[in-house]
Amino acid sequence: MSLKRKACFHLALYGLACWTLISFMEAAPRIAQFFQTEGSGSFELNITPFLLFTVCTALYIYTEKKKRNGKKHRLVPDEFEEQDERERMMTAKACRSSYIAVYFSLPAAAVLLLFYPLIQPHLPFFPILLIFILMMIQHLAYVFTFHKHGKNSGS
Amino acid sequence: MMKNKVKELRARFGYSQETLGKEAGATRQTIAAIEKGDYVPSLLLALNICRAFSLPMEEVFWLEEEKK
Repeated sequence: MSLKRKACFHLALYGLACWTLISFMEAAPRIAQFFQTEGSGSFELNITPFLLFTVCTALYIYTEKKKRNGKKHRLVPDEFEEQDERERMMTAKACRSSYIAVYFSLPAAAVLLLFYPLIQPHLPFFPILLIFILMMIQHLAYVFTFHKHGKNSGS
Repeated sequence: MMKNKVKELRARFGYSQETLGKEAGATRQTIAAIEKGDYVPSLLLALNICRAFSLPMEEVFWLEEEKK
């Protein structure tokens, strides 16, 4: 799978994971109430995002597994394509810019969280959204830098 | 600025980028980048490339003054 397609897959997975958590967060008070009243009453939970997330994850793992053939460690992110020194250098540069992106966006997110009491009535899932936006920023910084250096060094 | 004649030597020795990459322990893309002058290889990789051609370093890589 190409880096671009992989990045699109990851962003879609982040989006779906965010949607899953938001729908769970919305249902959480009613689920808690359901268990407190020992099963009397009912609750509603939107499982569409969870199903979509599961399908997308399964599809991604299947396509990546075919390529990897179980050679790499599963805990290492898929973006780390380091077959030789040039790719290691590209990964290092991409990690550097990803670190810088998080270095600035994390304090900005912390400041935004100060306004949560004001935002909460309109956007109760704001912290979840913020975490996923941070993850996307970090990922995009990595992918763009890796792509830029890949293009500049002939791949 | 480091210059090289990897492309020329590769053609002379009848190596493909893939073959030379395997010999030197690099990917085809890295060999292509070295040939275009977009990537400066490490000393180890440069020595491996020289070994693949059985040539001394100065016949494959050399330094050239940058134009001001």
